Amino acid sequence: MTLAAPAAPVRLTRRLPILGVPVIVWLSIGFIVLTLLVALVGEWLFPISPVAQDLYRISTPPSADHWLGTDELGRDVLARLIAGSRTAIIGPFIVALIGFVVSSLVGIYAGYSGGAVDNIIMRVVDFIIALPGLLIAIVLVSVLGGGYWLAIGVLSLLNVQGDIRIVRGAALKERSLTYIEAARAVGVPKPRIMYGHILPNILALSASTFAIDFAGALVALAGLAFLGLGAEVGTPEWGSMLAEGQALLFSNPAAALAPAAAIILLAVSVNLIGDWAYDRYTGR
Amino acid sequence: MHTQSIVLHLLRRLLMLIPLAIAVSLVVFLLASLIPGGPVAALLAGKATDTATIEAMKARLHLNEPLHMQYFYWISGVVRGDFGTSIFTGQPVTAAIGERIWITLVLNLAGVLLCLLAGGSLGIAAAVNRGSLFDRAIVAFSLFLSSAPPFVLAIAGLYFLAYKLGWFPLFGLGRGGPLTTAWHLVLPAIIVSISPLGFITKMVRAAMIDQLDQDYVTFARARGIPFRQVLFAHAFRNAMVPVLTAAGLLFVGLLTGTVFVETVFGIPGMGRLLVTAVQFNDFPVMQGVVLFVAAWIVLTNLVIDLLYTLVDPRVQFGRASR
Amino acid sequence: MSGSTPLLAIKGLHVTHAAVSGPRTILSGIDLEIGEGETVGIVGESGSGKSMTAKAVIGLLPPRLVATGSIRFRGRELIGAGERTIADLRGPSISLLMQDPFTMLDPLMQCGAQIVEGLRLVSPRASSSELRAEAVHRLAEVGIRDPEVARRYPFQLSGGMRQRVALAAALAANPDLLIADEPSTALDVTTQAEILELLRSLQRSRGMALLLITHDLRVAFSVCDRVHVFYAGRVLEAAPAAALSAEPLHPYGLGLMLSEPMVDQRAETLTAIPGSVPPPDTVSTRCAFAPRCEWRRDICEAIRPALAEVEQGRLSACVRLPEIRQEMRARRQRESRPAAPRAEAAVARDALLRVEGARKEFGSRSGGAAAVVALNDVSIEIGVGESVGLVGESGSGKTTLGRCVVGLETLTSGRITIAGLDASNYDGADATTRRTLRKTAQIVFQDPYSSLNPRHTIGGVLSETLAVNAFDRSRIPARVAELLDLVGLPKSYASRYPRALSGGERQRVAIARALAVGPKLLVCDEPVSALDVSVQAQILNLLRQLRAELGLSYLFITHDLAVVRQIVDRVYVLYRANLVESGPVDQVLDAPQHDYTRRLIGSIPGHAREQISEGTR
Repeated sequence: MTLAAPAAPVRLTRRLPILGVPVIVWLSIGFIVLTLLVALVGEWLFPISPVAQDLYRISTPPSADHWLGTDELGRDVLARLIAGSRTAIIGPFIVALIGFVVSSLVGIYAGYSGGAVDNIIMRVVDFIIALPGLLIAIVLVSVLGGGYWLAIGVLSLLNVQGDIRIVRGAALKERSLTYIEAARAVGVPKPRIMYGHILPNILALSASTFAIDFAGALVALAGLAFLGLGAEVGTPEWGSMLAEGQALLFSNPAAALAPAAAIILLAVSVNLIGDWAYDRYTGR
Repeated sequence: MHTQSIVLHLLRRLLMLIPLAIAVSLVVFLLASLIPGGPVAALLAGKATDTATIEAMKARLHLNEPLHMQYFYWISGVVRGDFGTSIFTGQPVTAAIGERIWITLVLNLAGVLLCLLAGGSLGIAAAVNRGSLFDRAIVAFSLFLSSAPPFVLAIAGLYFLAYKLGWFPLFGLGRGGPLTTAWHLVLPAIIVSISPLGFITKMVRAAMIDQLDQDYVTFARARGIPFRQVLFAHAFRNAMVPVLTAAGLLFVGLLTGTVFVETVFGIPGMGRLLVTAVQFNDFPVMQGVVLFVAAWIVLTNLVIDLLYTLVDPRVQFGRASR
Repeated sequence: MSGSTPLLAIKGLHVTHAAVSGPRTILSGIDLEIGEGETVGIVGESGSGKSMTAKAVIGLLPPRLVATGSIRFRGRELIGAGERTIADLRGPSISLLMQDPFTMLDPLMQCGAQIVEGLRLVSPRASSSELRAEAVHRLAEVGIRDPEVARRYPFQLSGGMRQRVALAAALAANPDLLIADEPSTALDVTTQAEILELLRSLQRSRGMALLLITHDLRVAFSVCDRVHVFYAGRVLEAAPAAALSAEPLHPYGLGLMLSEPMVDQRAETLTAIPGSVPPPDTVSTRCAFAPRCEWRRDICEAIRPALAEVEQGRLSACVRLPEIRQEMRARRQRESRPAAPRAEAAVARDALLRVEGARKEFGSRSGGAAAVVALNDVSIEIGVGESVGLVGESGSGKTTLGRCVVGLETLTSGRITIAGLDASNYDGADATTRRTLRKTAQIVFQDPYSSLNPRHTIGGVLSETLAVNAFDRSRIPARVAELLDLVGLPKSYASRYPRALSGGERQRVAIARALAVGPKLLVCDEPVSALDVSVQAQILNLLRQLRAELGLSYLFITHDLAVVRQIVDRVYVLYRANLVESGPVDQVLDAPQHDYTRRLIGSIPGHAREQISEGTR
C-alpha cells in the first residue's frame, strides 16, 4: 500500500525513547555513571587490595576467591580493574575537556573573525596536524621518561587541533546565518556574539566532539600503556593490564579480556552518546 | 579540464608546504634537546667513560656548537640521505628504515584497501537501507569497531584465528619466498583493516545518506533514471568529496597504523623499529622514523589535494559549492 | 473533461506520516483529474500538501510517508503497484520538475550528460555522439542556443539557465505528463515570466499534459486551464481558471485573492486572513478553513464539507456557499476599490537618509578577476516620515545598499548621511556616532526562520537588543511587553522560543527587535517574500500601521512590484547595480520610462489585462 522509496521505512518505535532519548543512550549513560561510581568509591568498598600479591596463586583462572582470577604476580584482577577505573576516566576526561575549552575559545574566535586571524590560527593547526601524532606522542613520552600525566599532556596537545578545526568550521557556518547579522545590526558586541550567540548553537556538536575525544584518548592512553609508556609499572591501569595480560592469555585469559572489555564498553558508551549528540546537532 | 589551473593550484600548495616542512623538521630536531642529559647520555647509556671520550663524542656530534649550527648539520645530513646512525645497532638509520619500509607499506596498503572496500560497500549498503535492521546492525558494528583499541583486536585476532583455530600462521614473516611472506601478512592485514573500518563505514554511510537526501537524487529518479545508476553515477560521486577526506586520513596514517599490529605479530616493520628504538632510547632512529613519516604525511596530503581537484570540478575554478 | 479515460485520475488520496509520536495527516481525500494535453494547476500555501501530491503521483514520497487511495495513470493503478511498475513510468510517461534550480542538478556532472542520461532511457541503442547531438537539440528546445552549454557544469550557469537545463532533462524521455513543482519560484520575476512562457509553449508543441504547482494565484491563472485550490491537505475549490479568477466560490479562495497585493492599484487596506494555516489533523472533522473564516457558523465546525459540484464544472467545499455568495461578491467589490489618490507628498526639506554616489565593489584579491560591482553611482533620498521603495531583481544591488545603510557592509566610495551624521563607514566611526546611528536606522531581514537565534527566547532577543544599547535595565521588561504589544503579539510570547512561532509571528518579532531602540528609519529587506500570501498582507498592514503611529520612514527593498505599490510613496528602480528610474510609485508603475521597468512590469504573471475580467481584479 505504500509508494515510499526503496529504503523500507521501519517503525523505529522499537527504540522506545524515554523522554525523547533512545533507550540505548540511557544504557550508555548508565554505564558511564557506574564507572564513575566505581572510580570514586570502588577501591574503598572492594575488600581485596589491588596490590596484594597472593603468591600461591599466580595466573589462576577465575575462582570463588578471585572472581576474575589473578595476574602473573598473584594480584586480584578484579581489584586492579576497579582501581584502574580511576585513571581510565580522569585522563581521557582531561584531554577531552582541554579540547573542548580550547577549541571553543580559539575555534569560534577564528571562525567568526575570519581574515588574517583565521589564517594564522589555521596555519598553526595545520602544522600540528602534519605531525604524525601517535609517533610524536610515543617519542616524546619515551624521551621525557614516560608517565601518566605526561601522556595526558601530550595527547591533549595533539588532540586540540582536530577540535579547533571542527569548531571553526561550525562557527564559519553560523557566521553567515541571518540571526548573527541581525545581532550585529542591532549592535551586539563581538564577544557576546561569539559566546552568547554562536556557542549555544554549536554545543551539541561540541558535546559530540567531547565524547569522541574522550573515547579516542581512552584508547590512545591504553595504547601508550601497552607500549610501556603509561603509568609507572605496577600501578593498576587498564592499558598496562592488557599488555601484561597478553602473556597470560593461555593461562588466565580474564587478565587480558577483563581490561579489554572494560575499555571497549566505556569507549562504546561514550561514542554512542557522542553519535547521538551529533545527530541532534545535524537535526537528523 | 584546465590543466593549467590544476598545475598552478598544485604549485601553490607545494609552496605552502615548504614552511610547513621546515617547521616540522625543526620540531623533530628539537626533540633531541629534550632528552635529559643530552644525546650523549643516551648514547652512553649509563656506561662510565672518561672525559676524553665524552669530549670526542661531543665534538663528533657537533654538540659544542650553537644550536642553529647543529640544526644545519643535521638538516644537511638529512637532505643528503644521512639520518645518522642507530645507537643500538650501529646501522645507518636510512638502511634500517630501508629494510623495513617495504613490509610496512605493503601491510598497510593491503589493510587500507581492504578497509576502504569493505567500509565503502557496507556504508553504501547501510545508507541505501537506511532505518532497516541491517542498517542498525552495521551502525552498531562500526560503533564497536571504533571503540576497540587496535591492539585489542590484534590480540583477539591472534588468539582466536591463529591460535585457537589455526587458520593463519602465528608470528613473523616465515621463511621462504615472497609467497610465504604474503601469506603471513594476510591476518595482520585483516587486523589492520578492521581498526579503521568502523570509522570509514560511518563516514561513507553518513556521506551517502546526505547525498541521497539531496534534490538532485530525487530529480534523477523522477526523470526515470534507474536507482542503481543514480546511486553510483550520481550519489556516490558526490559523496566522494567528504569520503576522500576520511580516506585521506587513513593513507596519512599508513606508516603509523601498524605499530600495534607489528608488535603483536612480530613483524619486522617500521612500527617495530620505532618501538624497539623507544625501548632502548635509540634516538637517531626515533628521529629518523618520525621525520620520514612527517614527510610522508606532507606528500600524501598533496596527493589527496590533487585527487580533490580531479573529483570536484568546482575546486578548479576556485569556488565553493553552489 | 472528455468522456474517455483521463490521463491521470487521483481519487481519495490520503498521505500520512508514520511518525514515532503518532501518525500525522499530510493529505486527506484529494480528488483530481488531468486529461491528455491539459494544464491543471494546484494552488496552495505552505502546509497545503501540494508538493506531496506531486511526490505521491511519481512515487517518491520521503520514507515513513504512506499513501492510500487511488492514483490511476491511463487506467493503471499506481498505489500498491510496486516499485518496478512505477519506475517504468517515470521518464517516458510521467516526469517531475522541481523547485530549486540550484540543487536540482548534479553539481559534478556536465549539463549535456544529464540530458543524455534521460535520452538513453528511450533510445538505449543510440550511439554516444547521436545522443550528444540530440542533447544539444533539446537545449535549443528550451531556449539555450549555445551548444557549449552542454559541456558546462551547473555551477557555471545562472538560475534561469539551470532551470532550463533541468527542464530539458525532465523532458528527455518525452513524458506524457510533466509535473512542475513551483518551477519559477526561486527565480527573478523577469526570468519567471520566461520560464512560464516556455512551459506553455512546450506543452503546446508536445501535446503534453502539465500539472503546475504554485503558491501564486496569478501564475496559475496565466498558465492553467483548470485550477485546484489546496488548503491544509485538502481541496477546497476546483474550477476553470477564468471562472475562478472572475469569481472564487470559497471564502479561502476569495481571501487568497484579496490578500495578494495588486500591482495595478493601491488598495485602501490590504485584506489579511487572520491566523495561519493549521496542521491538517487539527481540522480533520470540520471545514479546514473554518477557524479563520469570517462566515463560519456551527455547521462549519460540525462536519467536514465534501467537495461538491456547485455549478457546471465547478467544485467547492463550502457548505454555506449559496447563502454567502452574494456577500462574497460584495466584499470583493468593496476591497477592490482603489484608495483615494494620494495627495502629492511634499518632499521633506531635511532628508533623513541621503545616499550620494554609492559604489560598492566586491573584489577578489587573488586571481585578478574583475571585481564584482554591486552598486554603481547610486543616489537616493528619503525624507522624514517618507516611505520609499527600492525595487530590483537579484544582482541589482538593492540588498547591498540596504546593508550599507545599516552598517553591515561598507561602501567602496560615496557617502551615506543619516539624520545629518556620516554613516558611510560604521566600523571607522567612533563608538558614540555608531550608537546614535544604530538608534536611528535599523533593519528587518527577509527570512523569519533564520533571523532569530533558535536558542534565545523572544524576550531574550528583545532584552538583549535593549541592553546592548544602554537601555535602563530596570525598565527593560516593561519595554519588552510594550514592543510585543506594538507588533500585535501577546505578552506571554516573551518566554517562548522561535520554533514555537509561525513565520508571520517571527517576522513580527523581527520588527519588534528593529523598533526596540526607537529608530526613525527602518530598512525592510524583502520582509514579506518568505511568507505565505495570507500572512503577507498581515505584515504589510502592520508596517503601514506602525508608520502612521510612529512616524517612521521606510526603505522598502523588494522585487515585488505589487507589494511596493501598496506600501511606498516613491520608488527607485535598480538594474544591475545602476539606478535606472525613480519617481512617485504610481507614476513609475503606470507610466514606466525605462525599458527595464517596463519589462519588469510586463513580467508579472497575469498582468496583461486580458486575463482579468473588467471591473473586478
